[in-house]
Amino acid sequence: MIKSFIDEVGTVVLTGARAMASLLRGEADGKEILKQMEVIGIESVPVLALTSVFAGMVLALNTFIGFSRFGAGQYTGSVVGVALAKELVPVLAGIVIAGRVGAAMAAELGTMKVTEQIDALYTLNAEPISYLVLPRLVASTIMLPVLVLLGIGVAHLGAYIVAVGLMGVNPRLYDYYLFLYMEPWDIATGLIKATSFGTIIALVGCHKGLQAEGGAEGVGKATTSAVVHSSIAILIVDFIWGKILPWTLRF
Amino acid sequence: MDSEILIEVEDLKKFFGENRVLNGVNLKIREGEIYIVLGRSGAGKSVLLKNIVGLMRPDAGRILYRGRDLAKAGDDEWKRVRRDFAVVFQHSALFDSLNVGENVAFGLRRMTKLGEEEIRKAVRESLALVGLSGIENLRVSQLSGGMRKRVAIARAIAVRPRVIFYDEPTTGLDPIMSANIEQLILRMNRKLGSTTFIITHDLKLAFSVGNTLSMLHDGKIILEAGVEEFRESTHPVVRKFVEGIPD
Repeated sequence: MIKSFIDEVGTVVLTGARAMASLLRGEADGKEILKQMEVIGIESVPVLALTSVFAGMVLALNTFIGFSRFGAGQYTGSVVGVALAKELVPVLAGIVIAGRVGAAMAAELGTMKVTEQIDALYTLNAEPISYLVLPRLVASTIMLPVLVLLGIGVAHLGAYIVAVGLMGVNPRLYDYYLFLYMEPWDIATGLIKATSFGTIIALVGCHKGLQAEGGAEGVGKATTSAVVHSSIAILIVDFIWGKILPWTLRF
Repeated sequence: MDSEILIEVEDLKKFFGENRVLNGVNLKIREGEIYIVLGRSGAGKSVLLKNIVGLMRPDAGRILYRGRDLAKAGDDEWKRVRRDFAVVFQHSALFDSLNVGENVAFGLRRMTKLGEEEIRKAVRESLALVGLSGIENLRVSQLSGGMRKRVAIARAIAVRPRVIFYDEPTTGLDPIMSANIEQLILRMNRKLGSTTFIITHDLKLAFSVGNTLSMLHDGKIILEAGVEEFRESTHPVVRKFVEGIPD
């Protein structure tokens, strides 16, 4: 089990390294990257906005309820701001995009693998890493932070509506504590995490697709494991960033 | 046929664990001929083809193409060799994210320095050769099985390859479409002068288009002969295959 986990991680890292080498050799197809940015970024906006607004609303609601128990309901903005920017939106966005985009990548590349389209690429001198993986990797790594930035904005809107509009927090006090405790570094932390989540989603999704075998069943398994593995990887990497990034602040 | 040998496979071995799929295959393909490998399902025909075109690496043996050993070739060498090779896959393997014209143009864009206008002209010509003029803008999903196969042949011939490899070209097609594909294979071989390598279990195809027929059995070529010699062979495995005698 441990050996297969290490093998799996090693193969994904190797796929990433080969894609980077392909990028450095100037093999990136700008048109394909733009197409993937649209698929991964623009087309994910509705689902991400919906997830973020409700995440903001539910966090504000529960923070207010908890804080009110010791008379600190007016401080809701202080916790909501930091939690949404650093943790909740990046992780939720990562998992939602893994479900939408990572699954689609695994299904598309998996279908290409089992229908010999990947073999056809090789015979036509098109290396699947540069033709398929690289555009998805670049697009996902660029678009995830953009989506998370948008998500943070939308989540704050949801939180504000619930805290101020529904729970009666003073709007001036909400804003005051929000901006008193939330620093630009909190947003930067969220964006750094989102960048790495974008890389993980594309690499795991493409890797699982390229490993698919055995027809429709194999594609189904590849799709499921792409979502499960990238979601787990996102949570693990989120924890690692959580330990590393505050430490970097000291320098 | 006395033309020079273009591809020579020597003692080719490919194992999957304990399973010795290819266990010392020897064959010689002459320039311009139609060479057919026959064999039962699971005999290793596709594995043989994949080894020759570089989609798999052999465990032992040599694959000589114009004197160069492809079994030891690096990526750069394979990139050069692939300009000479084209493969028509069993299920066509057309890229369903691209339309017909883009599929046929794919190899031209990757392997030639032609401009867009020249590529469009070459695509038109290739589709016309397979009898499918004017379908450049159709999606792959809009094509029938026979049309897919013909577009796959158009994609293969677009780059004017020296060798065309066909993997079970008539599998899954009705008898009339199979006959059409047979005629197309013959026409492409004569018109373009490309050497043709076919793996199949379709005896009708083999007898009607083949110059050299070989039989793959137990990981080895057990007979390599002309059509008549193959048809009349007294080798028990070949006899059983030709006459379709059950196990």
